[in-house]
Amino acid sequence: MDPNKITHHQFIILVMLFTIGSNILDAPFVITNVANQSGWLAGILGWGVGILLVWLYSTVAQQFPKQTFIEYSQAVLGKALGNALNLFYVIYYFFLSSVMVGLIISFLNLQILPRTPMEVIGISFLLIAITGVHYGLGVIGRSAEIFFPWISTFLCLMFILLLPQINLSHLTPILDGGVRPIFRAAFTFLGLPFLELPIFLMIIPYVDNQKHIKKCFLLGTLLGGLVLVSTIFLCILVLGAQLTSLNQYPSYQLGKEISIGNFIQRIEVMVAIIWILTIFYKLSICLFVTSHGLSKLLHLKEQRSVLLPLILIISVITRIISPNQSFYDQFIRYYWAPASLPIGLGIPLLLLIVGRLRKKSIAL
Amino acid sequence: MINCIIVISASLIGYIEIPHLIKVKAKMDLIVFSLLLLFGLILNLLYYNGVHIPNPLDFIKFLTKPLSEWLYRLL
Amino acid sequence: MFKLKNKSPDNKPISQQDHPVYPDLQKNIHKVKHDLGESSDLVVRTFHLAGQTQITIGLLYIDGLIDQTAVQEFVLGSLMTKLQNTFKDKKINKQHLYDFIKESVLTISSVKDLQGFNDLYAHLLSGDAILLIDEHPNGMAAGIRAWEDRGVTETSSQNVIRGPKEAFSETLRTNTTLVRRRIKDPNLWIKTQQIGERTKTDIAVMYIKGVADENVIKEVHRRLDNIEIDAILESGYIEELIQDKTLTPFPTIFNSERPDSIAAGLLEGRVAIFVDGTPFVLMVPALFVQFLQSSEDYYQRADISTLLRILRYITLLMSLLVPSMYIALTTFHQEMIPTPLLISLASQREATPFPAFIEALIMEFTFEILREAGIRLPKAIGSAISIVGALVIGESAVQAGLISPAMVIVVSLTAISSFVTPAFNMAISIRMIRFPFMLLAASFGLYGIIGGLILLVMHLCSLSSFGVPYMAPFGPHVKQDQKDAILRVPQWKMITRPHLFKRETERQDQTNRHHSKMRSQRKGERT
Repeated sequence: MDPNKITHHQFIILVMLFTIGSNILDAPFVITNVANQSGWLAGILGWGVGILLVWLYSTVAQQFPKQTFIEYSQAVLGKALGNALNLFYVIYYFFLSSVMVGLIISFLNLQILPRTPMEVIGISFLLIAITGVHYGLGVIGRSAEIFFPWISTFLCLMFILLLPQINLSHLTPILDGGVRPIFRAAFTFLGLPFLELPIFLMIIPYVDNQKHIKKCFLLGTLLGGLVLVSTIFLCILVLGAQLTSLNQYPSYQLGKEISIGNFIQRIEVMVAIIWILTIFYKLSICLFVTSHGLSKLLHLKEQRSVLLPLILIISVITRIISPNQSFYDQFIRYYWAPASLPIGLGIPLLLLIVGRLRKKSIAL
Repeated sequence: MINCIIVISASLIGYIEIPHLIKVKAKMDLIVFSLLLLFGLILNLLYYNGVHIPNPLDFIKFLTKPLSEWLYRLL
Repeated sequence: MFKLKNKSPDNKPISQQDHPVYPDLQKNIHKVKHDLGESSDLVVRTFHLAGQTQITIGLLYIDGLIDQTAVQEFVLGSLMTKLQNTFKDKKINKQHLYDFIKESVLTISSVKDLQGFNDLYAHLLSGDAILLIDEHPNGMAAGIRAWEDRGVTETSSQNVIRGPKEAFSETLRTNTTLVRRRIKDPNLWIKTQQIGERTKTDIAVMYIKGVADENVIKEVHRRLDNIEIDAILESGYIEELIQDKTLTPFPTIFNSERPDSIAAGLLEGRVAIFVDGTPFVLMVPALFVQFLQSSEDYYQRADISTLLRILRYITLLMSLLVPSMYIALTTFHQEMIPTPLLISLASQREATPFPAFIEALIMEFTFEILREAGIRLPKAIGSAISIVGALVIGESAVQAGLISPAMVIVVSLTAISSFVTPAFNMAISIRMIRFPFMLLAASFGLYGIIGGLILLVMHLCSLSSFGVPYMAPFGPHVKQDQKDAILRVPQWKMITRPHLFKRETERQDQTNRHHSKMRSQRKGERT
């Protein structure tokens, strides 16, 4: 039995967790920063375009069933160009893993464990994720299935318990800054989860039911996007755009706001659990794709041979790439989406077009 | 102290993986593993000894700056 | 016969060297006596066949392993008295005599030819009577085994309020009978083999042909055949030797002393392994959920059982996490405790000298000692332990200011919750994992607990029992098996067998579907 085999049910959950992971932390803050109280409109717009993008990715994947991204980009674009793109692809997700570790470190350090050294948090988190990757994608998928009911229960509970705190006047005035900030915010939002989703081009070949890939991929993104958009919406409704854009972790703040009677209060730990879990799965998927991609690219016999050195490298790269919070915030806000465009739009389009042309020329 | 920890953890990683890699006779794996381990070791040693390492994100920033400025002006 | 001799190497120790039975009776008896070291429970009786002084017959058996009355009546009685006039003044051919005795005289259902001394010993020591005829190079074994056993008694470790009370006993045959009586299906097959160089313990593999997965059956036989050990004294030996993964605290093989629970498992398509000499029967494949189910769940009404199951899952989490949660909250996240509670906790903790982790460790450790002592102690002193536990540990430790009262509550809650789990081996695994979790909580707070949980769940998901993923039907999610995992839906809704035990192979599926249809017809019978 291939340890990397997953079911389509697990695939949906992984897509959803990947979409939610980390972005539930920074998306509300980044979006309201640009679009203020109209941020939710930007969220919906970004969500819609994101789904179109996912449609593109799954079309690409269906064109080359049973092959990973690394394999078919070589086949379609030739060895040299294909390998260059593959290297770029692997490095991109290597950096994404480092960013994930950086996020969890700064969140835990600021909010939960102020006295624990950052390195210890980062390395312990990496070790857990590496254990998952070592067990294989199958175990990651199955454990995600077990945690999924918890995550969704906590999310629903959070949304429901926040309803009494809603203040509709936070939404007005609508569109006071014109449409342009909404487009900008939507573009930034696009980069936060949706342009990263080509990562699943490496995972799709391991899904058992290839027929429903498109449906599953779209469903996962749809649900994940729904969670993100509703979080943004609730942040604006409960905290107001001003507070959301000033707060480092607005959705954590949301958890702190919950107070029903005198007994349900201070349940932000629930939110923290959702985050740690979702970021964990995002990191595991990134690490899986990084190590798997690397071993495919270099024709290694075993994937595990690159895993442990990766801990050493990522733990220090994490510290290097976010020397301070403001640098990181600025990068996420202005540069992440454009930097993701080649991965999220350029390469899939290229593969789709060249693939189609090749197929046609073969048919002729 | 910190150097000691870094070197020990790197050699621990080597100790865990290298015998296995030799056993399965994966030559390419061994090379890639050693290179990555060496890279990680040097990077850690440099960083924790106060050597300034250029931030790779700065480089990405520099590359995407024209694109992002153009895009955000467009939107 | 002679081939056998040629095959056996001569340099082996006496007990393993095979040798055909000698034609000379005295030589045979001498050899048996010598090989058994003149053991006092060996009974040797030589007698003449029905007044024919020229024909000597030797009877050998082990005292205590055979049925005395059967020997008197069916062996000695038949041979010495009932044949009084048959052989009068006739010339007797020994081979003819041998066949005649075997086929017409012995009124015993199981009579077998002996293949040599090893075979003789195997039969003799299993409780068969051995008959040797002088001047004939063969012997026979008459099956009249009977020995003292405990009989079928009430369950001692897996109790139920409603449901059958009988439990397996130490005798293999009794145990298989108990299951056979519940499933009167010709497809209920039993395959027996002996394992253990010295103990030659009987192991029976039982399954329902056509319901159990062929691959699992094959795998069970393959693993059993690979065992090389000198002794099997309990099913625990087998369990450890055939489990999928050794490096795990979790049991991947189910055991039960309840015939009804084994029968239910067989009907679901599992394979049972009976070991002679123990009331605990093994069953594979075993899933995590199985260890949280009691056979009573199916005898009580569905709603009650569902509630009880949910309770068990909660208590499982509690016995795992309550001490570590307490440590994490009091050490790292005081802000998460409601203020009035925090004040009262803080005032309690002020008086105690130890940090929460040490306090919890001491108390958990003490409880483990009490629990272990409670099992080992003679029953008469059992009450003394509870007094010591309740008074000394509970009251005095608090009054002496060593332990905070809240910690006593935490520990007793954990202790009681861990006893709710129906399977003892699962409860003990959870108790074991509790300590690393406390350590994680003491060093990383809630983050440590969540990290530990992620690792634990991933480890559980990586396990499998005879090819079936351990955490099914949760991970992988199997929609049709959710009916009998956390929930226990009414009997009339349990239409299909567990989906897990069959893979998407061959036509085995067809047979199963047929069976499940038959099963669903019970709904029709009722209405």
